[in-house]
Amino acid sequence: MPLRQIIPVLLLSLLSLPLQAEPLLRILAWPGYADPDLVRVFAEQEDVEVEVTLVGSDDELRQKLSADNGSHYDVIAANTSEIRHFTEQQLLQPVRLDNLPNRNRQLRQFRQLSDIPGLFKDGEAYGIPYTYGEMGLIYNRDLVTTPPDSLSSLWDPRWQGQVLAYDGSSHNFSLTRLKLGKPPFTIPQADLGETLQQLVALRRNVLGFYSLPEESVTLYKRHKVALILANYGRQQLKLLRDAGANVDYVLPREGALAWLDCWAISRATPQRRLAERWIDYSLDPVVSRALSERQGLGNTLEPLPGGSNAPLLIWLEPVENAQQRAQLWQRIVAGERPENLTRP
Amino acid sequence: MKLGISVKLTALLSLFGLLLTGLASYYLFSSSQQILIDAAKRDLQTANQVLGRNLQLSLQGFANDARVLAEQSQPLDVLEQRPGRELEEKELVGLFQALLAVHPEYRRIRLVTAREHGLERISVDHQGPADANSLGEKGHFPYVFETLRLARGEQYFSDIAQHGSGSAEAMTLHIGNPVWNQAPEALGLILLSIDVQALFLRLESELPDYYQVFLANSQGDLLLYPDGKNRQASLHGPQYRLHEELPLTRSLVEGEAQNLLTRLPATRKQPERIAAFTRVRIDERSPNSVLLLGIAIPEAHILRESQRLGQRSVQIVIALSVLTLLLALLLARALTRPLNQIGQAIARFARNRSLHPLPTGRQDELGSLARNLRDMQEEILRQISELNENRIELERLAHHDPLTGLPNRRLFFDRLEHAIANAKRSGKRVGLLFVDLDHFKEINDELGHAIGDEVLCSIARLLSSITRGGDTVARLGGDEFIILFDQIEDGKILSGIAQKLLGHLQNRLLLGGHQVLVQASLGISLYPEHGDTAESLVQNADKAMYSSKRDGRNRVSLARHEH
Repeated sequence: MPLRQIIPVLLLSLLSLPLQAEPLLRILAWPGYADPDLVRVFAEQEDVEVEVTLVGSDDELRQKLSADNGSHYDVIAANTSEIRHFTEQQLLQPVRLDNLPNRNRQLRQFRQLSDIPGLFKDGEAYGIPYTYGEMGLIYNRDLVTTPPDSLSSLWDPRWQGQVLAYDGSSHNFSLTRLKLGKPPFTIPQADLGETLQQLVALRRNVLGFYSLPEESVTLYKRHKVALILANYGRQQLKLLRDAGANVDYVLPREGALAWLDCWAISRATPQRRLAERWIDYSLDPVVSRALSERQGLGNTLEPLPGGSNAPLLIWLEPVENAQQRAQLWQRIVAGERPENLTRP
Repeated sequence: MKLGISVKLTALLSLFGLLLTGLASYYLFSSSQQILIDAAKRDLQTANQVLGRNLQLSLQGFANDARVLAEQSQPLDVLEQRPGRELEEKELVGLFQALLAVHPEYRRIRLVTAREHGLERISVDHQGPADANSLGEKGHFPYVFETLRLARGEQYFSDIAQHGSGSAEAMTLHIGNPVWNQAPEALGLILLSIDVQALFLRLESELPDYYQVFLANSQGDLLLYPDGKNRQASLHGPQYRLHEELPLTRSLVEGEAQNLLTRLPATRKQPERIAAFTRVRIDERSPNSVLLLGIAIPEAHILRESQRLGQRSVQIVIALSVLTLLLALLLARALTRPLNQIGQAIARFARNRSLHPLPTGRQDELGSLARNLRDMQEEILRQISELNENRIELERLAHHDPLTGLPNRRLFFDRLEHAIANAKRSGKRVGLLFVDLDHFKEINDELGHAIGDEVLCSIARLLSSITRGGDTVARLGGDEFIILFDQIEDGKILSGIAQKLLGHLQNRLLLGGHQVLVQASLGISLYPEHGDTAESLVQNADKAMYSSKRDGRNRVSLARHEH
């Protein structure tokens, strides 16, 4: 009975499949940076398994990467300011530039890593620029007749319950500071109470907070939304327009926070070479262009069509105390009342 | 070794039987596999629907609790800030606590006002009621702003966040029920937060462990995902979406299909599976209140049942084959025994033309073959005996004179040579008496050939009558006769006989009314005195006869010595 002899062998080999160690690349990135189809191509090309974890905020990113010394991820995408933070926290390891032949395709400004703050430390590169954007305002042309020109319209009681803001601690503090006409990345202790009052006021003025750009689209479709703080910039604009929203995009006169997201490799990874191959793969024109075509984000291989029209781009920098901002934001977003917040 | 027909026939019949039973069993086996898979599919679908109904009932129970709470008078009074509300607040806290005690899966029950940015009025969890300071403004949470815009009678069901989402609200279902008075706007809401983790795990554990349970929220975010289990610590793990992990389920996630029965192709970690999916709707009026539930079984598990059948089939095939072999042996023997009998009968008949028993009594083809064969044998025997008679007659004709019936020259010479050979061994003598009729030509001419022939016949009878039984009287041709005397001591006996013959020939014969005198001239030769070959002996006897003719006929002469 040959069949009876084959079946156990088949079953055994079937069972042993999961036991065979196959390389696994764990990517921690933002929506749109590692789309399933592009990941699948890479996985097949390299014959590895790839897991993508998406984050919706820098706080989430920090929380996920910091857990167990970054041992849960091999390659991450973060903005320059966060890269600097992670480098200081010794969560990252240098990227070996020789292993990234596709860097030659990048625009000069993104190849000169030493000129970009936060990416270079002790003569070694810790981040490879991948995409960039700025945080403007999206407004509903059906509701808002005159385009808003200031961040203060987010606080405007006219739009009470019709504003979508972003659930991210650092940016919301920085934006509030910008709105107040003060330096965004540092908050003197004396100014903290005022900033918190403003943040609670913002919370009271919004319909809700979103993390992922898709959430803002869902909320926009279900509710009357006049204004959106576009943390994802043009990517979010494209998403909304693709969903049929009659929206436009402006950069506030106070200036727009801008971010440059880079790939970095965690210090704890057992897959350093594979992580570098992923980074190189992401700089392939097919992959980088998909980022622009699908997400409306700028890629590092070709200039934005028509150039950037931003009157003032404020590149993200490390803030005075990100942990404090995060803790306070957690309390604000949990709904704590201002009188409780200002209590120590 | 040559294979006999019975071996060949047995082998052929067994092979044929094996082929038939094997084919039949194989088709039975493969069709039963299909039947098993179909049955398993139906079972799976039923199980999935039952499971879905179970889940739906549990969740509807929760929703009913929220509805009942919202319809009490106390929430309304508290939200409207009626006098005496402190007492009603206390009653509500007691009510919330009682519910929490009964339902360990309830995480928190809250009463939230629509005013003051969605401030919590009452919040009770398993630790007890929250103090007034820690009550927060929740207006910016979907479970508040979504609930407040509902119509009367509707309820809000949050999407359940995945385990790995990093959110504190992971695996929590929020059910919001607006609190209404007469006004068109809701006054606030009752918010029931439920830890569904335990519920789902229980759901999973109620099934046999070879069942795999998939559960996703309305967005397709997987809440229970058997394929993701072994991957990573779930707290920091990646997010899986049903339609991305299993593209076949897209129509289900998008709401185009209510049920889905499909075969999941094998992946690196999972064997081929059969899976049933269904959309579980908690509340008909709430489009969001959907969970996607699926169960899957590895196909190998279903087919394990059919392996037993396969085993059984093999046993049946073997048993039937043995049976076929036996039957084939019997059949071959039944067929070859009469054939062998016929064969033996033919062989013996060919060897010695003896008749042996044939299966002529059979009523089948073999019987008719045997009968035909018997007829043929009898015909052959009859023809052979006819041939023998003819041969004997021909032989007789070849060695005898047709007129007198006496041996002819050829037979005579045979016997003479034989006699000479005998005499050489025994040392005895052989004697020849040559007889030639005198004036026979005149008798023929005067009385006719018929009389001449009668004369010859009479002489032949006469010659035969005066000789011994062992002597040979032959007619050499015309009126010449010769007599061979075998085993004689000397020539005297011949002389005696010759004299006796001459004596007889002095009488007239009465033939056809004629008195005929027939006389003869005689010559004698003896072996070995007058030659040691048949020719020389006959020649010398002939010569002796001629000398009798020369000496005046009607007398006898002895041949002259050759040596």
